[in-house]
Amino acid sequence: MAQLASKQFLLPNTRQSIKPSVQEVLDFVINSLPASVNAEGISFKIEVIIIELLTNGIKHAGTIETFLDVTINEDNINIDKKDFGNRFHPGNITSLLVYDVGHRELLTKDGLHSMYAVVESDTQIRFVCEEENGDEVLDVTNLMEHFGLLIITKSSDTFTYKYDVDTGLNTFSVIIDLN
Amino acid sequence: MVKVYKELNDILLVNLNIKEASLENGDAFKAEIIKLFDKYHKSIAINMSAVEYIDSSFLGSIVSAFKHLISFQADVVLVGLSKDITNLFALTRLDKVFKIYNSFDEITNQ
Repeated sequence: MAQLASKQFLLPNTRQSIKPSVQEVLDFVINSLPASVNAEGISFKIEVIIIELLTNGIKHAGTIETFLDVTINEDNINIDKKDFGNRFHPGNITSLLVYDVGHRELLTKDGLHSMYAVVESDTQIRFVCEEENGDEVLDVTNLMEHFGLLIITKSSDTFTYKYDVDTGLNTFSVIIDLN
Repeated sequence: MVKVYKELNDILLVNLNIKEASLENGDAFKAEIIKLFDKYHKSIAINMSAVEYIDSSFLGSIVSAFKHLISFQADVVLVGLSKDITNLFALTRLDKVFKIYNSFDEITNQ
């Protein structure tokens, strides 16, 4: 798989910096895309994914800066958000060591979606979102109020989180297929 | 941030006067909507045409305000969403939850 472009961004972890950071990354991606790709459709996905990765970092990481590695290949775009801040604990997961590989842990559920973390190893999970079929009357009092993971999961083709125990490195990895 | 535009019999029309709807102002937005509801006791239509950018935190605040008003048999209606924000509501399927209009005129002409 041929790599077309790659760049590492070092971005400030502040609320005020999100918009300019998103624009900086977006400009790089759009200018690096193969001519055959519909830039408008990709642009929306990249924008919401970067917004939510950075917002999640501000909420949970507790670091001053965050690294964003962006790679554009012929077939996909890979975005890795890295920091050495607090370990991320989605839902009630406190340790992956107690789960078997392949275990699906329900994170949130309402009348629209169910969000799961699928255990891929003792340090990595993959987020999966399933839409509810809507046969029943929607109970709006039960609607979830946290959309960050859901937006990234639904905007991408693969979304994983990995924690390196030895170095304390958090890596959120997003892949968007271009085909 | 939220300014009353017009009070109708059954709904209050308000303008959301921010460009960036985010983690920074979501809680304040929700507090202002609930304060308006406590004063007027009716559904609220929010004109969001000035909003250029919205994040998941602010979406959560909209949903939270909506759930509060629904518990009093009132509603939160959204007006003037940009193309990207419309796409975000479709992605999160919140377009199935909220009544969404292009302008206040669409509401008043009903």
